[in-house]
Amino acid sequence: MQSNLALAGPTYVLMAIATLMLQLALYDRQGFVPHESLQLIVVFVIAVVIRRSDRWSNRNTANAVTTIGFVAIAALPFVADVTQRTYSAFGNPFEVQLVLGLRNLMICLGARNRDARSLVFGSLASGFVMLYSFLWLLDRWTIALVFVYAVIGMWWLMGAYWDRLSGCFVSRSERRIPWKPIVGAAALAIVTVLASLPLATGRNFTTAIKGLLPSSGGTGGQDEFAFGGVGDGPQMVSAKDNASGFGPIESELFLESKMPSLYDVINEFSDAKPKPKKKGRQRAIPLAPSQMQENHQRRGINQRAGREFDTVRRKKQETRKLEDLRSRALLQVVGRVPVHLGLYTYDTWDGHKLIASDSIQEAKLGLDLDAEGNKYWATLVGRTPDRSFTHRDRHELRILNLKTDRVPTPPNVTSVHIDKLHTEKLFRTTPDGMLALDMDHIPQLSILHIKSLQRLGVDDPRVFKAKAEAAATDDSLTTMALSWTEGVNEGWPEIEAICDRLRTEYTLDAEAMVPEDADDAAKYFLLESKRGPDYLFATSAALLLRSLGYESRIVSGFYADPKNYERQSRITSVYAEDAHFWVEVLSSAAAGNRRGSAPNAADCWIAVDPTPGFEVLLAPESLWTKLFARAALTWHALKRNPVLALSVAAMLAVAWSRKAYLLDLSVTAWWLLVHRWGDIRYRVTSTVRLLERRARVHGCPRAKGLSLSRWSDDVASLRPTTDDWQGSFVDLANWALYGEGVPNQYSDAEAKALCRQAAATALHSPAGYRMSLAGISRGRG
Amino acid sequence: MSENSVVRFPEQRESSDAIRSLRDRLNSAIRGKEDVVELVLACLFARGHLLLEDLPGLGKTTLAKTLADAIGGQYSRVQCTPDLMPTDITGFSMFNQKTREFEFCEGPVFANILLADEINRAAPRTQSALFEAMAERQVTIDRLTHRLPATFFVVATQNPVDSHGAYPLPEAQLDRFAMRLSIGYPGRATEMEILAAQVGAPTNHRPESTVLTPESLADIQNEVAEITVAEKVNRYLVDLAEATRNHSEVALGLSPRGLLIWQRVAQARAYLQGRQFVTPDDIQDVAKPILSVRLAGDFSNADPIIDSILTDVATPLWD
Repeated sequence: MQSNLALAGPTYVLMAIATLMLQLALYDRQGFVPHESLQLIVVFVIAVVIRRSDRWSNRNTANAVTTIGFVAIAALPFVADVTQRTYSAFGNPFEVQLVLGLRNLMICLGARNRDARSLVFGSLASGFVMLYSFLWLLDRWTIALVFVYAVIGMWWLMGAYWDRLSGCFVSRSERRIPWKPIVGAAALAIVTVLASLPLATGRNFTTAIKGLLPSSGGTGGQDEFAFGGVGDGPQMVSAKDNASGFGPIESELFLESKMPSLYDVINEFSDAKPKPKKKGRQRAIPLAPSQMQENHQRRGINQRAGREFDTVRRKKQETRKLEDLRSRALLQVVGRVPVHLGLYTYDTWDGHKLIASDSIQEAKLGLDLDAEGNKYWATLVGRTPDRSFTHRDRHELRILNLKTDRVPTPPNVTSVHIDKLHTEKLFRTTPDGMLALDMDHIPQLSILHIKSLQRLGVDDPRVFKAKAEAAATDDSLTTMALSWTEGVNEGWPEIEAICDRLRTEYTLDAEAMVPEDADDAAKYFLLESKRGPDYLFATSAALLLRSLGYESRIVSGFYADPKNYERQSRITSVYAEDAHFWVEVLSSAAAGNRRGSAPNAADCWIAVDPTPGFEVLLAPESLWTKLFARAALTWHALKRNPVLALSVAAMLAVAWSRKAYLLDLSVTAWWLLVHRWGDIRYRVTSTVRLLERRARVHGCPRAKGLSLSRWSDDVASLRPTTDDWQGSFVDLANWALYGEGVPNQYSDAEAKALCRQAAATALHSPAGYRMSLAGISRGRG
Repeated sequence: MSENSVVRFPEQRESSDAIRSLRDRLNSAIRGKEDVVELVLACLFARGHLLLEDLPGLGKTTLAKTLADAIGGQYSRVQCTPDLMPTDITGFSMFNQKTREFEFCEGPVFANILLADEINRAAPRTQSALFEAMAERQVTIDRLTHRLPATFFVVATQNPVDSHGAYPLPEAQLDRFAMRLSIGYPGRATEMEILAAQVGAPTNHRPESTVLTPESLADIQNEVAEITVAEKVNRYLVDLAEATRNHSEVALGLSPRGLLIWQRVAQARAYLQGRQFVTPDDIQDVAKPILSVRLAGDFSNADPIIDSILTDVATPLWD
């Protein structure tokens, strides 16, 4: 093994990368969690204590502190998690706690850098942390980080086992860095990583490796915070051979029923015409008779999310009458919430009434086969979203008690799928631009899968630029809108400004009534009462936006509230009281296409909710998308303000040209801050460190083989001043560095004065420390 | 820094006067060679043996004799020739006709300071006998072990040019010496001084008194052994030793025995500087005389290699 110091550097780099990767993975999963950062700080404090304990004279105390420290940090994530689960609605799955414990151990092992074995185990731990984090995060940017880790890891291995390796280079036993094998190893690492790229992005690779890692979800146990696992937990399960009831679930097995359903059986052997189940226009999806289970008794209907388990057991198999499990929910949503599910749109306002549009062109629907090749999706043709619509979202709607032919759809729905439906003809678009099924109403227990596009939440200036001619609206509204958007950039910021104003200055009050004698309910709400239900918020916002030239419409439907999300079954129920109104703004791409042509149901609209307490579903932000969006935002801001950009550039250039001075200042400031906290030996060593850093900052670092006094001799010989601070300071520094256990020949006051003098002379000397050091480097160069 | 060291520690004060006098005595004997004198003192205090390698007439013998005079105790000198027998150095048992018993006649090796002049002219077996005495500090003759004085110090000289009829010392044997020094020609000004000083000087001038006793020398040697060596300084020493072994041009690197003597000489150096701890400077200062006697390879001058090793191995500042 090489000396610990040589190993420590690369080990720390490996640990830093692994820690960074884990934090990124956790951030990606859970966002920023303050108490986890707190935990990291606690771990660092314990690591510092463990590090310091090496120097304690009482070895027993030091060993006890180290042992307790190690046990404490390994147990910390588990203890923290119990506390979290008790006092907040947050928790970590078991595997995360395990890796956090491993990370903590890794950091503290790194702190014990005097022991080579600690460093080896620390590096090993970093490898595991890295593997876990990589599998959780897994995107192409992290692969770059993995690559850096791999190269440094290779370097580490070579360094750690150099004694054995050097035996392989008999002809050149010189102690010099063997560049050829290192470059070879790096090239090998690159090739390996590149070769594994296609594998890493494929599912098989990750599934295979994930099988090796413990998981909190699965057949053996269940954790509501699990990242993954086998099965869906307490979800309803489709019947395989003996269905016992009806439920909102896709199944290969169907039960006979007179209830309206999307499905109907065609029996080729029967010449009797199928009887209509009920009056009215009802289309059905044909099923083969083999999928039908003969039914001799009444079956229960289950509208609840979870299964029920009866603990009372009967000895004999006997038929049992299943009871209906009714729910008052209108529908259930599986997928990300909050989501706005639109049913009707209104584009006209007469002062009292919202009037639905009836002139929107019907959009064509096509039929697409999805990537797996086994599902048909009815797709809206011609929907062209903005570039900012980055995320393709997927929701599953389970219709329970909602009686409408319209499909409640999230904004910017692109395609719909119903199990076993192989045609798009069952769907149509309504005159107000919404999607509907070509039947009286969607039968209960039907399941619809919906794909939609969501835009990125960060203010991307590319998002919205379109602005049409301002609609002829009331002057007072225009004045109001203009005053609200004064000094705000055109486009998305203006829309945000209007909504923010409504959200902050107006009160949501479902009971507030508009007096019948009011001319215009929206104006009354905006100018007088400042209080009202959500439809007044939506109407006002739409009117204000129109007065600024943004084409907007009002949508009514349901708001799938995250409050109603059931963590166990992963379902959000939507009730009658979740009916809601909001606004949609025509996207710039659609507005661009629109010119001259009639409104089409395939136009792309962006949902905006001006009502306080309601949020719009945005694309989930990964760390990288956020970073890129921020970078784009900065770039556009700079482009818009060339003066600001130029001054920033000039400042950066000046800072770059004076970087040595600035760095010098910062290291001196750091020294001023820390050198007081410690005994006299620490003060002196920190001053030596300051001098060394300064020399490095000015580009003339101490040559590694040069001892302190030789280095200072050279500096002194070039210095024009006659004071001998360096001679005495070097004596002092030598004592601090090498004279362990030897009494100091200087009093504390003298030593402090020498330290101050050393630091100050170097900084303020008219000849300049820099000149001296530059002289040395010239002389040696 | 080297010539005017200030002794700051009270416990060293007693011996410091004696050391200063010894230093002055040596410096007046060999003028203009203060750095050589410092190294000779370091070697003496580290309980090492010294190999002086230089041309004739440069003061090798003068240095050894002055040292012997100043320290007191027994001084002997052996002029090595090819026919010198081992017993001529170690001593021999002689039958006493009167007492009818064998008596041990001590050889010149039983001295506090032994000057072995032109050691490379002695036959290898004679050299071996001397080396054994140097390493073991004892002589075994006729199954009887005779201990040498505690401050036994060998100054051997050899002439590098006149190699005719000489038996060069084998590399493995050279390791017995702590360091190899060359005095070198004095500077022009020093030569002028030497000439001026000799005018009117009495021909039978003898130094007046000793400045150290063998006992006080042993005390100093014990004090030197107690000088603190920090762990990182030891690590530095080990790094340097590894570097000598891994150097491409060096066939024979530093042995653990060499490492030990290096540490001891560095301690002596720190002691002479008035410090109670060893710094990397001490190690670097004594590196050349210590390594040049030990590093073997296809080179005539080891100095550039030692320089490169000292430049390449990082000086320890931090843990």
